Parts: sequence; C-alpha cells; structure tokens
Amino acid sequence: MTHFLYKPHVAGPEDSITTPDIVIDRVSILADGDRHYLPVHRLNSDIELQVLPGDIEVTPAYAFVASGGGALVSLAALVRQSGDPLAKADLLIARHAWRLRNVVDHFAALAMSVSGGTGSASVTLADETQPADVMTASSNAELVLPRGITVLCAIPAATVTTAAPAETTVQLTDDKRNRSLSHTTDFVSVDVDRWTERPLPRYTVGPVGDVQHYI
Amino acid sequence: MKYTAYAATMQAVWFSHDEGKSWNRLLTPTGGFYNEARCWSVATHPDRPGEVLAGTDQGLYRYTEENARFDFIPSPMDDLHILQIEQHPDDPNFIVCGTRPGEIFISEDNGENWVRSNLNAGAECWFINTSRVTSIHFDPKDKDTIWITIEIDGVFRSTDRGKTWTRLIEGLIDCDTHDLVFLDESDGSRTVLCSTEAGVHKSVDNGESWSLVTVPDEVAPWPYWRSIKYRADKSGVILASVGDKPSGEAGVLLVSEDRGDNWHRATLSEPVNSTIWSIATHPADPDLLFFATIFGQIYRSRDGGYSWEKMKRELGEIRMIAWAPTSH
Repeated sequence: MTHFLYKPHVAGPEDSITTPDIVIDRVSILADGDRHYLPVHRLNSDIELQVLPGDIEVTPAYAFVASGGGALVSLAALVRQSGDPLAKADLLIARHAWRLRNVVDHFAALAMSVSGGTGSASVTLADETQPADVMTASSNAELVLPRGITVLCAIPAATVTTAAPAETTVQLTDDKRNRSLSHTTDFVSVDVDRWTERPLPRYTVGPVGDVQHYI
Repeated sequence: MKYTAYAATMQAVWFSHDEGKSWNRLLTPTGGFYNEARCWSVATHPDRPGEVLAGTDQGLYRYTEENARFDFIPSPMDDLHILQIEQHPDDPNFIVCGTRPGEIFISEDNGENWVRSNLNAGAECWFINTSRVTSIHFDPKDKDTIWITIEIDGVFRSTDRGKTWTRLIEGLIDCDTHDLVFLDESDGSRTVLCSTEAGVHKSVDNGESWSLVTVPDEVAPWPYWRSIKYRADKSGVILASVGDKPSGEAGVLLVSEDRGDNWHRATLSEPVNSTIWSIATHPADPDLLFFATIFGQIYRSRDGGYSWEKMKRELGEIRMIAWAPTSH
C-alpha cells in the first residue's frame, strides 16, 4: 500500500459537515518524546479488529491530519500485543474529526479518555504535545502540516489492557464546545470462528437446465 | 471505416459497433468488473487499435480485441476514482491517470510500474470537498509537457513529463476548471482556451495569465462551460458544451470557427436533458463526432459538429464518450 485514503467527517463549529477524501502517505507516532514512522498500511478506520490470542494493549492517541482547509484533529486507538512496542501497533483512526483551528485556542483543556478492558483512564491534553510543537516540527508553520502527513500523539500513560472478545472506546472531549469524538473498536480473536457452523461455499445458477458456465 | 464507440458510465463501459445505434456491455464473465462498476474514463490510442483503457472505482483496466475482455492492471489507484486517462501521443506505454482525490499517477511502461506525481493540488476544496482531475493533455508542440485541469484548483502544467508542476491561475475568475484546447498558429503564436464553471477563459501567453471571454447570453445562456474540444482536423473549429449547472437539466453545444472569439449554437435534433459532459473527436474522421450528456443521452454528428442526431439508446449516467477505428 502506498497510501491510506482517509475519509473523515469533519464537523465545523456550527455543525456543518465536510467530507474530504485525503490521501495519507506518511504516518508517525509521537510518544514520550520519540517519533516513530510506521508503514502507512497500519492505518485504517476499522471498527472491528482481529487480534492474536492473549492480552492486547490499547493506547489512545490524538491525531493531526494534513488537509487543505487546515489541519484536522481526530483520535486513534493504537493496538498491539501486550509487551510489543508502539511501533508494532495497528493504528485505528476515527472517521470523525474537527478542524484544528476550532480547538487550538483551548487545546490544553481537551480531555482524552479510553475505556474498556482493565479499566479506564482520562487525561487532559495540558501536559501532552501541543499542536504548535507538532506543526513546527513538520513544517515550521503553525496549524499547517505538509500534504499527506498524519501525526499520532500517543498517551502511553492512559494505556489499557484487554483481551478478545472485548470492546474499547477512545474519546476526545471538548467541553468548551460541548462535543466529543469517539471511536469504539471490537476485538475478536483469530482463534474463534464467529460462525459455529461454517458452510461450504456454493455455486448457483439462475435458469434451470443447460447453461454456459464460465468457471 | 469500421469503428467502435465507447461510453464510460456509472454501469460499466458500453460498446457500440453500429455507429451509436445500439450499445452493449461485456458479459460479466469477460467484463473484468461488475456491471454496475462506476466507470469515469475511457482512452484509446491510434497505435493500439482495438485497445481501450478504462478508469473505474475498481481500478484500471485494459480491453483488447484479441482478448475481448477487460483485464485488470494493478496500480496504486484501486481505492481511488480514476477520472481521466491519457497516453503520450508518440508512446502509448506512457500513461497518465488523474484521480479523485486530485492526484496524478504516471506509468512509463504500459502500466507495469506507477509513480504518484508530486502534484500539489488542493487537498480540500469548496463545495465538493475533494478535488478531482477533470482533464489531462499532452502539449501539442512539446509532448514532454503535460497540462491538467483540476476541479477545484485551476490549471497545472508540467514541463518534465509530470515530475514537477506549476499552477497557472492568474486571471482565472474561477478555479473550477474542466477542460483545455490548444490553438497553435504557424507564426508560433498560441491561444489556450479553458472551460470553467464561470465561463471560458483565454490565454495568449501559454497559461501564464487568463482572461474571461465574453460570450453573448443568447448564445451561451449559462456560465457553466464543461467539455471543450478542438476538432481533430485542427482546422480551427472548436466545440464546447455549456449547461445550466452540474449535472443540470438543459444545455447547448457551441461551435467556434475563429479560435474561440465568436460562438454559435450547433443544431440538435432535440434538446438535451442535462449538461453535455463529454465530446468525442478522432482524426480518423474529423466529421464524425459524438457527445454525451451526463444523464445518459448520446448524440452523433456526421458533418463536423454543426448538426447532431440523438441516438435512441440512453445509458443512465455517462461520464465520457470516445470512438476509434476498430476491426469490426
């Protein structure tokens, strides 16, 4: 995969929605001061994820996505087998987003939470990486990211542990505007077949009688 | 001359082998993609008679008369909408595709390998949210130069086969651009015409600046100019479509015989039901032309575009029409 086609629903300040399709071809995680570039095929917006047996760790992250009308803010769940580094995570980014310009003046007051599994955690973004730090590092221009770039700012301290079958929800809350973004992920184990009986696939025909087959 | 007409529709690609009277899709087992696949573009090349490239929402496909089916061409565009396809006039292996979102993908080896061009088209745009490529042109005088139009972001030109691009919007009153025509004279002068949602623009300095061309309301009653084509004989006749809006409920086809300075309406056998979206011309017979409205009507002209006969068959929603000589 050379890119991920991100299809956010961007809520404006007055409940308008825009739906740009955005080609993302470079994604990185910022965590504890380190940046890790990851293959873009790890990025997706799935709401269900098959995982290997055993514990998995879910780390919430807020996301900055380059877009033409100004950078977007969304959120993501970084999912990995317990004990693996973040650099091995699947990156589940929500389909809903805000425009950074509409939250930048109170960004530190935004709250990020994760629930499910071993419990829940919630932090404000006051002590986390601020937009200007990410933008400056990327382009020397506040509120602007270069085309195709997405940066996920992980909050490792808010990591929860769970095991399939399970569900976790990451949420970003803006009390000033009284709204939130969330992404819920269902985890299913690859060891469990969702169907108790799995039929063999059939080939069917329309008319009864002799027909030309193409198989 | 035997020829085939092709229509890229929201229900696959349709073929006509009888001058537009009847149209058929391929049978599903040879179709390559399902019958309701959205197809935006078809491209033919004089050096490859019978071959058609089709841009869809399922990726890029190639039809050949030999195989009589659409074969899938792996590319990085599988999850994008391939809206435009153009092959280098002297080298059909050089393929340029334009997509939604507004990106350009280039293959120089007949689709074996692809590069996404470093095109800085708008990543977001007003009203339609996502930009898209509306036309691709190899420059008639310098075939290493490629021009594109983007809806909504203006005109772009690359002089290095798509490696780098320059945005050319000085004087455009609207960056919702649709199509280009190049008029080169023996004295070296050039006029470029650009159709936009706010009228047709003219450039006499190779796209560095544009000015709006005034066309009387009794000729072009709306500002929405869509397809504009230089008739294939390059004798000075230009055809252009003007509609009430996209997708629209009405439209006219205009003809100019003086480099776009003056226009008059072509004669249509009956009014169109929506904006004329695509006009097809081919050097094998410049007098034979087709056009399609976005809502499925097909018209044919045998007199170089002055009068048009509506074909009985309609095809739902058509995004592009083309014709080319074939063996049957």
